[in-house]
Amino acid sequence: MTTSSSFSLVAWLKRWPNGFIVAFVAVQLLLPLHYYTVRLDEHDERWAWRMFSPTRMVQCEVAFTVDGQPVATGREFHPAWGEIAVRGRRVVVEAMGAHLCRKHDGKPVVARLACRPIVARASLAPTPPGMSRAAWLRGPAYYLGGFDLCEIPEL
Amino acid sequence: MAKRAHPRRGKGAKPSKSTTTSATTSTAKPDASPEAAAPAAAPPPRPLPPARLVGEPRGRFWLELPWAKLVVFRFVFFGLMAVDAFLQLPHAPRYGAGGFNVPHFGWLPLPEPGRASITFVHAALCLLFALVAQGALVRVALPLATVLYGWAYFSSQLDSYQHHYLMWLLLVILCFAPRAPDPLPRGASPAAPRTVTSWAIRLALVQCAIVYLWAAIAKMTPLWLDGTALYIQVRDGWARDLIESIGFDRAAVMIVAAELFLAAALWIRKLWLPGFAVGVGLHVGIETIGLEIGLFSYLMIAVYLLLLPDVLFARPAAWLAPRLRVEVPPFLRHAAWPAALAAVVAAFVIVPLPLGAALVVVTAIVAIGAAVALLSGERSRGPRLAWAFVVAALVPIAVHATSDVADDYYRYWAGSSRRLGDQEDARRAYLGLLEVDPSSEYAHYHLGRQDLDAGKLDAALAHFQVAQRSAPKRGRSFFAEAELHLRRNEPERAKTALVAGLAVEANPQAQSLLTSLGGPPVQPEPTGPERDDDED
Repeated sequence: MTTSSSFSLVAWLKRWPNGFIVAFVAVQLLLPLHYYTVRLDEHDERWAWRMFSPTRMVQCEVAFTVDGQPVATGREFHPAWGEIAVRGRRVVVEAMGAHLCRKHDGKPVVARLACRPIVARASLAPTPPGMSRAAWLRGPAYYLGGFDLCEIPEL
Repeated sequence: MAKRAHPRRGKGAKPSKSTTTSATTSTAKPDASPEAAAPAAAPPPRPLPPARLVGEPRGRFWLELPWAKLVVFRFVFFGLMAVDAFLQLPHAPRYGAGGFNVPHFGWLPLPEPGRASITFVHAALCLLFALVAQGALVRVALPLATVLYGWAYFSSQLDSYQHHYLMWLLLVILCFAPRAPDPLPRGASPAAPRTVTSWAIRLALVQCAIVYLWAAIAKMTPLWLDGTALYIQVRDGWARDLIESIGFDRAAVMIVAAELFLAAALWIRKLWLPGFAVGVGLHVGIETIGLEIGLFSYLMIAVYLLLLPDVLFARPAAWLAPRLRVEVPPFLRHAAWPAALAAVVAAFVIVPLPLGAALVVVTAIVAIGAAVALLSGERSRGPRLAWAFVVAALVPIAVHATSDVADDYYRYWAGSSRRLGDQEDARRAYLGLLEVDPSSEYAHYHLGRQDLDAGKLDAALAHFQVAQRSAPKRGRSFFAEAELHLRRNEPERAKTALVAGLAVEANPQAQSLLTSLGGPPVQPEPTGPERDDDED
């Protein structure tokens, strides 16, 4: 029997399932830190357990142009991709841009995003008539894109 | 769920003391320990192999539960997963639509998902989870289901739901949960309460605790704590009124406090009962305020079954066990495989979705499992597997009968294909929808439009007329019929169709066309037009 004095952490970790448990818990504890420390796109909340976060409620107007002409994204992509793009997830917008670049070889593809986040109000009074709660609580827009994604593929 | 040859011991108990530690002891009969149960002449209990001796740090992670608790959890959790898998089917047509996809990890060489493959996966998951819920073929079905679920999730960012990611993590962990109770000590009464000792069940709870911890941390922002985020997301209703009376800011802080408490309570057995109350309350609340997250709240409530006192499971199990230990009548054994085949045929015929491939593959897996059991001398296992498969095949039939899954599947498929310009694919979807609902206005109208565009005027007219009978309050099939009559140079019939359409739905273009044909202005009835819902 292993005694406490001769206990070897390495040997213990090598024995099934100890190492698996430790690695699993460590990864799950640390992985969400990725969002807060190194992730460049704050709209991309995957793997961070940020359910119902205000960031998810950001709404972006996404407009693509090919060679200066507007693209009807609903005819190019399934609406579900449009919904993800509206939340501002850059990796999806970039992939949509890359798709358009392949389809329209040699022509500039530009994506412009105007994103409006949720902002705090002094009081959460009833919303003005005819306005949704989210619309009432949206702040000024910030902008992404505006350049040729075929030349610079990352937003 | 993994099967073990030997039980593990928890909390540093010596092997000779066996199951005398932890909460299960309170539920165990006094004669459950080997010393008490074994006759005086019986040999001593077999010692555990040295590698599993306790007094080592790893022993602290093991969790001992009544076997009945794990069985109830497994039935509820995987039963819900089976239903949820079937409910995911309408989303399948969005995969691969327009030849576009973004995987979660570009570097991971996963096959591209498409409508057919995702349909197959969710149909197979429905059957496999239903088998696991019954404890049938768990060793094969659960790892296979975990791989399929993982592929469906990770192959596309179309599924970015964090609760699906959590469910996949739980599936991975539960692959290592025991498939059978710990062996009884030698000489113990067969009626002794059965327990199960598992690190995987503990890890599943720890995983949930980590989720709560990070969910609470994520909410520690001004926009959550002042109630703004909650204010936007809670739907109208009594729950909103209640939160409003408390104050959105106070309710937001209470949610963070509840999540922090759960992050601790799931680790600490003494806090399980309050943890059960808080956790179930939180998820019932999430369901009540109308946040659309499928069956996630119910799945989490299933996880909370593990936190209920052991006695609630052990005592009924002790009472039920001898009563359930009856020989299966021969006619049920003989009828098992014919019933399984009948269930496959019934599911294939009754559910108008492309489930054939999944049914065949899962039937083959079950048949191979039964053959292996037969070869290894377990003659009674084959019929049991067959009956479990009968129950599994009833799940899609039952969910189809009580939901709009098939209707939505074809509508979303048709809507997606039409918008992306794939008319042939859209036609297949319309025809599929007619199998679900032969009088579907949606399908007949769009099939009529396709036929009209192709110059098949008689076929188009037939579709428009069925559409008009199915939805007499909807104008579009009347307007399309008018277009058709104008192509045939039949202005009077066009006028009649326009008047009929305008009587139920305002349409400026149709009105101006009617005016140009010399018809009167028509005011529609006050009822508004019905809408299409084909956008997934």
